[in-house]
Amino acid sequence: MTTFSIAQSLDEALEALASGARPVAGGTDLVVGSRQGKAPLPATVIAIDRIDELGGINLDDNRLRIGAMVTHAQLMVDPIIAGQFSAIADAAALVGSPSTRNVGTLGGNVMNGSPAMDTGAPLVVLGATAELQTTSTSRQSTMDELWIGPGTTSAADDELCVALNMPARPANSGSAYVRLEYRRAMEIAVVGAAASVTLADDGTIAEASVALTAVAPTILAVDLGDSIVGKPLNDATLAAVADVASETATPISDLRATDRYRRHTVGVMARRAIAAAARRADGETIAIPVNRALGIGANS
Amino acid sequence: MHQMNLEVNGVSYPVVADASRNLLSVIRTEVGLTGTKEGCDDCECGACMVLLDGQPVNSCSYLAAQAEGRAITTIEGLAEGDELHPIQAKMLELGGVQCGFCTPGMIMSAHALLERTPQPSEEEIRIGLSGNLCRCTGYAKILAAVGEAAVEIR
Amino acid sequence: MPAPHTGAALGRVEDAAFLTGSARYIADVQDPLLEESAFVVFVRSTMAHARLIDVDANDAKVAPGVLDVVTGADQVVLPAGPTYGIPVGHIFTQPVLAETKVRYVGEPIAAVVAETHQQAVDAAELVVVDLDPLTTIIDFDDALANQVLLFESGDAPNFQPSAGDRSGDAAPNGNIASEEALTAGTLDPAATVVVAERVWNPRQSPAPMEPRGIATAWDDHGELHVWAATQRPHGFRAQLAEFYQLDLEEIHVLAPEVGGGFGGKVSRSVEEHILPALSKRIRRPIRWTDTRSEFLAAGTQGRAERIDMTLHGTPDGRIGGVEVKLVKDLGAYPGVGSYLARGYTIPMACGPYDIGWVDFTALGVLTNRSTVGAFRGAGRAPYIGALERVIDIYAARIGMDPAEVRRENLIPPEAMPFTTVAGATYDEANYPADLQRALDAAGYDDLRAEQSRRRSSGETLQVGIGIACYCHKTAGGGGEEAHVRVRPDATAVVTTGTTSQGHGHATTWSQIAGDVLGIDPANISVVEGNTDAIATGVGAVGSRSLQTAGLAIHNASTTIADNAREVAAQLLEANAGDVVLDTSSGSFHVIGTPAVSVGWVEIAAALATDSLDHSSTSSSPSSEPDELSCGEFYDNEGRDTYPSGAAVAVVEVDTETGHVRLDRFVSVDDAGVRVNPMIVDGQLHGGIASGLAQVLGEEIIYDDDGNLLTSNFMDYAVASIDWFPQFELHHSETASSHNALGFKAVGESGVMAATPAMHNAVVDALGHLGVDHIELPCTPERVWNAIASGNKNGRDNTAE
Repeated sequence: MTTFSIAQSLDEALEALASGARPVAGGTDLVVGSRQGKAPLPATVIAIDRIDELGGINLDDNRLRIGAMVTHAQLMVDPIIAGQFSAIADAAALVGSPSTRNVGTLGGNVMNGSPAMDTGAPLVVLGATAELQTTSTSRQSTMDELWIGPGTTSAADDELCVALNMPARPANSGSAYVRLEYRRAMEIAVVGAAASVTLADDGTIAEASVALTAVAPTILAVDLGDSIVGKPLNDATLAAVADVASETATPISDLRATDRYRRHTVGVMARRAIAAAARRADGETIAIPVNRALGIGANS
Repeated sequence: MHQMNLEVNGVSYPVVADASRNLLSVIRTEVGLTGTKEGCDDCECGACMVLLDGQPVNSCSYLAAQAEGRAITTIEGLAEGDELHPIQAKMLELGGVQCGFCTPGMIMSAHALLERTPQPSEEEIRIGLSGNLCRCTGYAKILAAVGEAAVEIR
Repeated sequence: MPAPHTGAALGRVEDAAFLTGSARYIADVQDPLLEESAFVVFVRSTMAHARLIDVDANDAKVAPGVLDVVTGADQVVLPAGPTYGIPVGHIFTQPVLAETKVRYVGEPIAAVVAETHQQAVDAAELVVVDLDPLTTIIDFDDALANQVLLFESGDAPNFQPSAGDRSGDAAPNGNIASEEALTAGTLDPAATVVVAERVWNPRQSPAPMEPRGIATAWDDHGELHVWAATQRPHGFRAQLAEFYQLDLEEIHVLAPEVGGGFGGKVSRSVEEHILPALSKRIRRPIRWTDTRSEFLAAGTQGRAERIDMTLHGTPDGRIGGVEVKLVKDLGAYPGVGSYLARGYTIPMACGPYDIGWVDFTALGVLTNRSTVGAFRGAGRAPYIGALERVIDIYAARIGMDPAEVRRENLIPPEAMPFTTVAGATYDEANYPADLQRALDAAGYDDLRAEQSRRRSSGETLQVGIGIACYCHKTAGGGGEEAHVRVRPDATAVVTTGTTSQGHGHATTWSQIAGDVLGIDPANISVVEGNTDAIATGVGAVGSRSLQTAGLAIHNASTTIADNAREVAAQLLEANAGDVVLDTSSGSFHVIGTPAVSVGWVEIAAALATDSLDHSSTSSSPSSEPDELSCGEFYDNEGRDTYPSGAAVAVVEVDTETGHVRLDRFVSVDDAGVRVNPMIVDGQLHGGIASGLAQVLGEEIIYDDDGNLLTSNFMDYAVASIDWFPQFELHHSETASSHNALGFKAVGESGVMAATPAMHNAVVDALGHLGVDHIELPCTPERVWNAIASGNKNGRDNTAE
């Protein structure tokens, strides 16, 4: 038997968590898991999808704050996200189907800690932190600190992710997320890559970052070293990004792909993500999601 | 047991059911509307699609209790008496139905799509219906029906 | 005069219920006999091959709501002789619940019956099964080696062979349950070019959107009532009669609306057969429906063929002969799959080509996987796929365009009807013209030019063009019964023994009967799927309904119209020979005098008042002229039809990732006379999507231990709406001489060319890189492997 309630305020939710309740946002993973006999529903469940404090997308001079209950459907069309934090919109648009995008939230996804989550790599390259709150504490956790293993986070049971925060974007910057899909809807990423690029005035790469999906126990940040920063974007530097991404990856083999194939294709995805991010940094508008706009990841 | 009040197709249904029950089973059993189907157990097939406040939701993977206070629309709530909704009428006219099992969920997704995007491109229809599987039709006539329904509604 | 309804793309008369959610499927059925239904859930094997040591159901029996727990030891269905109608030795019969061994993951071991479905699920978790693992047989060659046998002497201690069963207590050929061979014709000595390829056709699940389901109840008279999501109500009834030793009349099988079949609902599974026994034990009705994961694991599957093709041809493109060694994985318990090679594959070994020599062997082998039964295109699609693949390899070998090789070998229209060396007689069609139309519609020469441009510029996206031709055997012989009745209000009822699972029978049958009777299809209702409504029936399997039931409906309607004409003649005071039925108005009049007429209402009224001389209308023994009704059985006497066609697929392959995108699919199909072109297109679309999905990734996968890895729709990838471009369909409509109405078939045709056309296109895209074959499905990784290694195949592990 499960006890269920709908929290009307953040305080109510935090108090329920302190008493041992589990939060449910869209509930999809929880309900599917219990129906398939993987894990019974928790004894006490509190719905947190109607708390105003957990919604909203707000950008000030220094910081973007995305409420934890913002859905993928909202992210993919929000002008701030699509325009300046495009990698998140790219990823949100690829998640599941219209119904799962409508129910699934960024906070819910982050706290599931799946290494295959599409919005994870964008959050990493955009320097996001998760804002975790209890009835008495509040802290910021980097994504690297938060995700400690597949499906595992460092958050305490009574900590609720209330928002994702990240720095405002510098001038001449762009980002993109590219995923290798076997098919489009309802797909788990075979591999994916997010990239963020800032261009210097002379057109060389001033800053760049890459993170990878589904090639390690958690979302994997790539140390690009001197492969691309300070250099112009050309075939050689793009190839160097692909190489370093492939070398960084520690993929497994499963039903979808072997480790060898994942290692190769994540390099291709990283290269394509950097190239797309650089085009956006240069002022080009590439529609969301970049996968379909450019036909670079899958059936498009 | 959890007491909830579900508003389905504009009618309020008081329901007492275990809080772990999914919306699909409560709609089918307690509310008694069996047009919404179960085709899988993990949110993949879309046969269970209903609208919550106008947005498509896989009712198989959504807690019934969580739907309290939201307007639930099922396939039974679409036609006005004997008059088919334009999506339904075009599905009939153009042959979008075969075995019919995916049809209710497909129509609910199409309905949400056309509310959101009244003049969808073919690509937008494909994306809008991408969470609804059909094994019979190869989707060709469904695609055509939704496209023509959009024109009709305009 | 052209018939007004046949050929019209009429909207379906049955659709309103489907569109508004009021259609009742098995899970929605309500009936007084099903009130207070209990629910059953099966405890299934978690091992692929194991000795069943013990089943402890003590905790489950006392769990909340539990009414009964049954295991194999309970022997609830005796004798254990009947075989679900499978035409192989009884030794291979699956016990309704495992007795001494389990042989596939998902095999039912215990049945838990409870007040609610959830209680049954919870109690099933409490059943403790002790299994002692045996060596699992997954690989085809391991199975054929017969070192480990799935069926051994002593496995079935309670086995009671029925009279005349010669299989005894041991499997005569170990794991080989069926064996067929044919050698025919003469090999042209000029056929000196020999190409060979092993073409796998991977396992698929029929995967109808509605899983399996059944409900059973016994009435106060000891009669059995069954509601079943089935393609074969009458066949299922016959099996149940054998199982429960009842007369056919004591069993009532009703198929409500059925949410797709595709071969997955032929009702030969143990789950469906045990329910009546469970119902009897608790003296209550019971319901069962599959979950999706149960269907994917324990429902019957299809395909699963390894076809070694050797083609002998001349250096200038004439195919001299084919050698075929086909091994079909039957799964753990032989099902319909064991019959397919004999019934369907070998007869059409020549495909649509004039091939002079065939040397064919087919083995059905047992492995520790779920049973292989029927699936849309069963016994034909894999073979057409292999033949079309090897023809491309042959074309490449002799440096000829694959279209030209096909053109050179297709049976010409003037040869029809044509009897091949394999013994099948193909009906009328123009195979070469259909191929040419497909090539022209696709713009074949331009496509080749674009391909050559991309190859020389070395672009990442390479273009592939694939061609496939097909014809395929349908019906498989036999007939179907139909009953037609015109009611006093000038409406009509058509009853048949076949059933619809989305085929649009209600509309098609109404169009056929409406044309003969002059009654609007909207005023004709169709009754199917009810064993009480008609004495016999076969069902919707093997693309057979139109060319059997369709004829029966036409003939019965014709008899009624003839009888009515006699009545009309009396009312019009004319000779029957001078009276005609105007089918556009549904009224009879004397030739040349349409102003004076009588309709069905007047004829029915005249019959009701008994004011007529009946002597002239009671001559036909099968008709009941006073009720304007007629039953007809139409037997096709083996004159099966062979729908045919050709397709061109165009793909782009991302050479950096191996990703394949289908850009175009163009087909020309000859389904014979089309009653409803809209329904025909819909059948083709569905078949094409299914065939293409097999290339793109739809595959049932087991690991080496026999665990199913594709147990949901995330991992078992049926096509979604965003996989394909719009299909470009074109039609030939050659009337068949194999029946009086020129009908052929269409239900399975779409699959036939779709798989090989796209398969050939993927390989064609990479031909310049040295790739000459890639296994199905052509997943990105497999394609990339083929590119990366410059070799064929693309699969690291060829063990199936």
